[in-house]
Amino acid sequence: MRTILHSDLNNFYASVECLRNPEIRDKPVVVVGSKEDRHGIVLAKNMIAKKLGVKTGDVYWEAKQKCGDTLVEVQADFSTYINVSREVRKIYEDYADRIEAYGIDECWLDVSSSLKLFGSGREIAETIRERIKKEIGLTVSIGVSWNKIFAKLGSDMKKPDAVTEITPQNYKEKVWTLPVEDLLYVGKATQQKLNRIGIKTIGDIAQAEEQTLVNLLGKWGCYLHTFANGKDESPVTKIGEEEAIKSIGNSLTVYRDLVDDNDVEPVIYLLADSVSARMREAGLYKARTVHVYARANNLVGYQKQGKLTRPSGTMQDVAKTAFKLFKKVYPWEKPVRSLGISVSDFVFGNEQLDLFGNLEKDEKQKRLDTTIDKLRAKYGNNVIQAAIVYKDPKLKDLDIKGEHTIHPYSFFKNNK
Amino acid sequence: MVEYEKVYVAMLLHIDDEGFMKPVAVEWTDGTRFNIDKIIDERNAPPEHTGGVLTRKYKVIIKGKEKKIFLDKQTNRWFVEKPLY
Repeated sequence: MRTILHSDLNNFYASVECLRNPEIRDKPVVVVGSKEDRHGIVLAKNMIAKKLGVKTGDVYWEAKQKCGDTLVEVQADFSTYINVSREVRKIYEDYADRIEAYGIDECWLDVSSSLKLFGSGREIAETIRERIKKEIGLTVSIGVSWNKIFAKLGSDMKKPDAVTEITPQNYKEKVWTLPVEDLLYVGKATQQKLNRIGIKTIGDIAQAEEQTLVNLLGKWGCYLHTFANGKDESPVTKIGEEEAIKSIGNSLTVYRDLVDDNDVEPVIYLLADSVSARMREAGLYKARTVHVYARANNLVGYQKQGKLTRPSGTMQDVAKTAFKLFKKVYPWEKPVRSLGISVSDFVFGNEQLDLFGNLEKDEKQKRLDTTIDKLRAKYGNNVIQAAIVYKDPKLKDLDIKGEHTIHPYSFFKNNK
Repeated sequence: MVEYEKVYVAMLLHIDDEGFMKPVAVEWTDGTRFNIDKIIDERNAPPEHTGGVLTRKYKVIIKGKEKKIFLDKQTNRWFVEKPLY
């Protein structure tokens, strides 16, 4: 049996801000995108704000209504969050070589082969928890179990600053009593489908006939049945810092609602430009897949991904594909509030040359991109931009490259 | 309860031929230089009374007294926590 830890930094962004500025610790704190131009969506909150009912995704004024004048709002500082996340990872690396990040603030660790050196799973978890508190000043919740799914559920059970162990002896009592929506990959739609046939808890899923679930949910029924019974065997993937970048993305909440395709196009170029530049910065030149995410002003999200005609990293290619995807997926029932683009499936090493492609054109594009990067390094990100962005004069002043988004690995991608 | 303020200070550092860095002296805001006689301990740790993210704490002896100095690893600035009486 394996020993797997799932470690979750409690209220990560907000905790870092409280560490930076302890005076705000006893007040409700929210971390928001930039407040000007209406980016003010709550990205994270501390415990006090949470108790007052603030939710991630609230608009700033909603949070203000819930907390009153004591509310402290801090602008997100992603580069610091990434640095802190890296330092925390260094601590994990003392206990496991198999570490799999799930977003910026969560990690799975397979400590099965370190038990002889450092003690039981619980002991290792306690040591890590202590060290992160002492050395970084943050608290974590850690779940310990024999599979990734239960470890993750464990880390959610006791917060903050705690360790929860899910064992073959106690999982029926601890996991099976939880509602279905607590299980990884059970979203709202799946939850409703399950509830409709009387499946309310994770235990219900585990004890249901697998075929019933498959009839209801397709292959997902099979996965969920495996998850609920603690039989998930997906490995914690060994990932180095460089490989850790599975996708690069940027998103933006626009200062006004976007009402049609013409409105959306410049924003897509703006985002593609930033994604493309960030790829080059990370030493990645070509990606195969583009992913678009749009959120309507009623906060309903739509997303779609698709392949580039050939691997590419240029702004034009990314933007064109992204725009095509957007047009396919967005129903235009409501105006768009925010948009995001990310690219993934990076091409490392040699690639298949396109028989009909134009090498010379590629070279030219590369030189152009490098020149643009140099100009920006010297004069700032907004010194040169795609002409289409100038359709809306307010857009051109946005510097979105700073607004990092870090996408968690897809759980299943690692099962290949 | 004693309150503290964060005071950024200039530092004299020694970097050896292998690239290891060691603080040698603290230069106080008025220019006075205090030599570090001994480093007792250094480790990653947040400041005790003030704010700071990703800091390294140095426990040192200056003029026979134990003092703590912090390095902000993101900005490379050094600071001490000064009690406000």
